[in-house]
Amino acid sequence: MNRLDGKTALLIGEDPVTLAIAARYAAEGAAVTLIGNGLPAGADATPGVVAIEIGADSVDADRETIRQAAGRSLDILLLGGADIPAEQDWIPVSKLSVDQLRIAGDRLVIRALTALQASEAALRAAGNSSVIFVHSPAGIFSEGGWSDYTICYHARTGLMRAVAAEWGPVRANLLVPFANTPGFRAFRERNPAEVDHRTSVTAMKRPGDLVKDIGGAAVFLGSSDSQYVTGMTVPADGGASLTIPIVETQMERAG
Amino acid sequence: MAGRLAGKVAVITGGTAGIGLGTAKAFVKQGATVIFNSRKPDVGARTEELLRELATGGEVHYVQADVSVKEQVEAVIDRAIKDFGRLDALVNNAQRLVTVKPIMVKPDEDYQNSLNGGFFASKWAMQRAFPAMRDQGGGSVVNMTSGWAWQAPPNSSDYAATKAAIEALTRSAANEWGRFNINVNVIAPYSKSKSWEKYEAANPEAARRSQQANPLKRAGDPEFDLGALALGLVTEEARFITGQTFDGSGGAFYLRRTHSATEAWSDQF
Repeated sequence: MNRLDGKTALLIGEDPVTLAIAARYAAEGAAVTLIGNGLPAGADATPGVVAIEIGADSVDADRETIRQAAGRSLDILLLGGADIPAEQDWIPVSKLSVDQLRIAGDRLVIRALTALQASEAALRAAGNSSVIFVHSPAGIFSEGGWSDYTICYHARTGLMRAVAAEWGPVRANLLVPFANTPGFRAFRERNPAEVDHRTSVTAMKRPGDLVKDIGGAAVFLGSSDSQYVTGMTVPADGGASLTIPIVETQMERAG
Repeated sequence: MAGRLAGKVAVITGGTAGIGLGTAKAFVKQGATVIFNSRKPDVGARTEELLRELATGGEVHYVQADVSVKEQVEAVIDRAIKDFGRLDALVNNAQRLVTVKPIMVKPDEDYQNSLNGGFFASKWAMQRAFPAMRDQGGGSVVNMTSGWAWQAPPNSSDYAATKAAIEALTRSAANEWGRFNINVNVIAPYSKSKSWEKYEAANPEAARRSQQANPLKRAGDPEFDLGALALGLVTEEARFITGQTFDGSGGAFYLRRTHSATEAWSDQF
């Protein structure tokens, strides 16, 4: 505990991973500000977390809110992602409309860019700061049927690489969770055999605990332990990204 | 406040210089008991004394061993398990030096020596450590690769092949041992060393440009950058990260940044 004593952290997002990391960061002693559009009730009741609701109407207004929240010096900027969408919300590329792509792009790319630009001065002032993008397997693999997410998460990878290449010594990395989120649990309820098989062929054979496993990895990326790591994709997934469940049968035989 | 590795036992191979020594320093400062090896006993003894002065509660023990000899690297692991009853972290840092020759004239013996002093050294150490880690409920392994495994510069094919083999071994072990709460990762480092410092002294402008081209604007410090990374990977925070190749080069390897357009052209934007 107290790994982030004296650190300032700004988290932008409403997804379960971001909320859990906010709680973990606060428990580790960081001064945490959480900004989101549609934060769940009680977000501002998490000890040590200041929650600020923003609207989706004006990029300039949001930019100013974020800039003020970043303050004069910012150690950690975390850019939230999205939970697993329900099957009826999956959009294959042949059905993807421009408006649907814009919705995903606004949330996953434009908001990240806005937050980065608004926080840049504060991140540079901190000296050894860390930018963490909450990422998705949709941004690493080519998950069929999630075309809006696949496109936008890959765009986030480019944004991370641009920041990592241009803003040194500010560092930037992707954090890819395989986690026990509400979306994951709901998907498992509807598809138990598929999800249990998928989990069984991962190295650690379980989805991650949001606070202990994913939060822990976020502490690692926000702390000086990773001060020489930038431009990386870091799965906190118990090895899930190492295997391809459909092709890989040796893991099953290894039991 | 107790260190982050208080009560933990770690083995670090090649712990008398460079990243191995930097990692050992980081670990003993966090309270770990550290067992390390090298081939030269006089250097080992001096390093043992140095580390004991830095230690904050853990013990420090040197074992003379050549990691390219199976029985010798196993003896290093055995010392940790027999004396302390556990092994929480294994850092396979040692790598036997290789010859500089093109493939067409590089004999099989050179490749075998490189593999013995890096791949097999890591494999033997991991095999010897596994039962203890499994039985105690978990542990961490950190191996060392190199950006040269991907870039494969001329005349170093044995080194590139050895490091690529270590990466694959890391992923295989991650898959086989994850169920026992053992995470296994590998670092591709770029770090200052005695040779780097000699180069910097002889070529200050070239060294400065090289560091400027690095995304984080510096060559790595063996203790505060690479040792810190190894420390992070063996602590509870990274328990769900496994099978990964970490770019410990300040972004030089993964980003492949040769120069920055913003620096070269910034006055024209």
